[in-house]
Amino acid sequence: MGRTVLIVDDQSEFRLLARELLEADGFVVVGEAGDVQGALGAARDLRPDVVLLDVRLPDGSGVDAARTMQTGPAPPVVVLTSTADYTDEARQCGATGFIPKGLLSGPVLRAVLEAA
Amino acid sequence: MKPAPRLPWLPWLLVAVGITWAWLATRQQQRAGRPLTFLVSDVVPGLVMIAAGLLIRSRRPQNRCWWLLVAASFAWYVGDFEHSTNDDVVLGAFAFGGWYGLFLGWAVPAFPSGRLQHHRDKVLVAALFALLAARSVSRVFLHVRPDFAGYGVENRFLPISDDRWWRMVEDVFAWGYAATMLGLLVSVADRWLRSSRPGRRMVSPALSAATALAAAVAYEYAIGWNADVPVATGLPIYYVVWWAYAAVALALVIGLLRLRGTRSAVVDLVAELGHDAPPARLGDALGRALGDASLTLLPWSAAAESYVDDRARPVQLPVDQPNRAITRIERRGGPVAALVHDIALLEDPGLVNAIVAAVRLTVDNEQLQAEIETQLAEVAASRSRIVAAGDAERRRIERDLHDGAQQRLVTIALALRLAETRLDGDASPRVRAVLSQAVQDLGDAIDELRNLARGIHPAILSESGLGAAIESLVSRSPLPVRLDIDLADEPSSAIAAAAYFAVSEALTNVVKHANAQDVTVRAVASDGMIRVEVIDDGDGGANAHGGSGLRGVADRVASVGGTLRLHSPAAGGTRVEVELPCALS
Repeated sequence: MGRTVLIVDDQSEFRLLARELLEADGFVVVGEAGDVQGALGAARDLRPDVVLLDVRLPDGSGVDAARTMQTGPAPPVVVLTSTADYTDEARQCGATGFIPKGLLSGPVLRAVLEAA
Repeated sequence: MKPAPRLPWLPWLLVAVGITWAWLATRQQQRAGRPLTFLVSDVVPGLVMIAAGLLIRSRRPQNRCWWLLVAASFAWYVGDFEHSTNDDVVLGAFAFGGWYGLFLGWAVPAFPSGRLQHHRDKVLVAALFALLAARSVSRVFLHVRPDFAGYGVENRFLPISDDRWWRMVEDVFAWGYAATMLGLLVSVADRWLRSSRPGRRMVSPALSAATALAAAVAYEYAIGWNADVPVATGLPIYYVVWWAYAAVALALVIGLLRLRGTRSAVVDLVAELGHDAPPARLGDALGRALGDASLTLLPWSAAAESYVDDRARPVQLPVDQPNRAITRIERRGGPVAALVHDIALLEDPGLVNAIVAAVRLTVDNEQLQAEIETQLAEVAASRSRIVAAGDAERRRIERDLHDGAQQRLVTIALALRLAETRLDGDASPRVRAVLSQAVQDLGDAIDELRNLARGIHPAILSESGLGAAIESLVSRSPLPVRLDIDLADEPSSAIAAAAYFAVSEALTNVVKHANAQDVTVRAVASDGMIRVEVIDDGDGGANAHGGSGLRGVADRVASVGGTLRLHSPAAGGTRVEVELPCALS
């Protein structure tokens, strides 16, 4: 079974396409969330292996949400996504990596995870 | 402006009459065979008195001293007519020959205003009048010829052969006159002691001359009079007394002219005010310039509807204070301030005008300064609002780009990539190539749009703060950059934007123009200020006014109360220093 993924983004079209791209590459998307609160709840309830987390969310910053997720007993692997460059921010908030949204695909995500 | 004297022909008439009068008097003395020294000592003091009187009139038409001196001048020559061939004239001269003493004795305590300020002076002048009147009456009705001096006329009104009464009146007059003169001297000296510097400057010459006069008169009447003094000794005493009278008249003029020197001090003060003088300390400055330590400037408070002291407490203007005067300063019909000062200053209208002008100038300066400061504050606030509004608009545009065009392009890129993965294995290689190229081009477009959005407003600045935004800038720089960041608290968005764009512009310039090998970016917060520096070891020679980049940054920095300094000597590297307040005031 592939690694489970939680996709967090306020754009439903992005979530849909990301799900199909990742699932086409063997990942198992176990849930989606559109904001920070939903993301934190889903991460707690679904316990995914990977959280694909958008930096800019309607109710807060994905960077802050990543920090919060790292404080739990079994923190997931978090990969930030954004249209802007948040490589350094990802490093500082404990995220495994950063993927520009336009480059997202199963192989890219896998490469980021393997590089960590 | 000095008011034009009324009756402009009067001085010329008085000069003509005075000279004629002096000439006639001198003729009487010549007839008596007086020596030249006597004639000069007799005629010159009278001319000095009339000249001094007319000079005072030309300067101060309202000053009563002038006519006292002119009257003293005409009275001066009356005694000379004792040598007339007409007995009636001789009697008149004998009886009324000493009245010039009244006018001079009046003028000295009345100086400089021409009015007797103190009761004691009025008493002394009245005593002078009474003494002279008693002597005149005595000489007309009680005189017995020949007297001890061998001159005079027959008493033709009363059949008196005993000269005891006449002698008694003459003795009383002599001692009383000398005592009264000494009393006037003491009064003037007392006034001198109580005066401020400008008052003393005016009174000092009169005091000196009056001292000499009183001493001479005292000697003349207390020692020389009725004594068996030889003519060779007696005449020089008369000469001294006469010249002392002339000196008194001259001293009054000198005193008035000396006050003009004080005006130049005020002129200097006005010049000083034009440069740097705190309006609140104007009273002290005026006091120093005028030498009047007791001078008080009481500004008018519109709120309190009263004059106020230096602690803004309402005060009543003092009234009926000896030797003090109040000058009210108005502007456009409204009160501005009141000046409580030595009454002597009123003797120079030009000086008072200069003081009033100085106060008005200061008040105008103060109001102008307040208006300018208010306008500057409004301009600064307006500029901050404009920059803040611009930043808000940039953030909105950046967010629109992010939420709109960028998201659409990202979605399309993902869709194309998904389509690429779902192509069947037998898809045309050309289709695969076109699709791959489209994904590639779309990625480039997204990058360009991202850079554009970052230039408009870096999202990371809003979302992660100044430190992260500067790190992001540095990480994208093609040159190796040493970074030193120590920011305890996140500044306000306007301050953060100013610091960020300063670093961004400076780094861009380094990459484009500096040919630098070593670059350092430093952002440190301390003592309520954020100091941002971008230092390189490149070519230098940068000019803050050369292009719009650094100038725009400087404007932005200034809009939030910061400063930008550029040190860029040729071949000496470049240092851009920006200092910003941590919070907007």
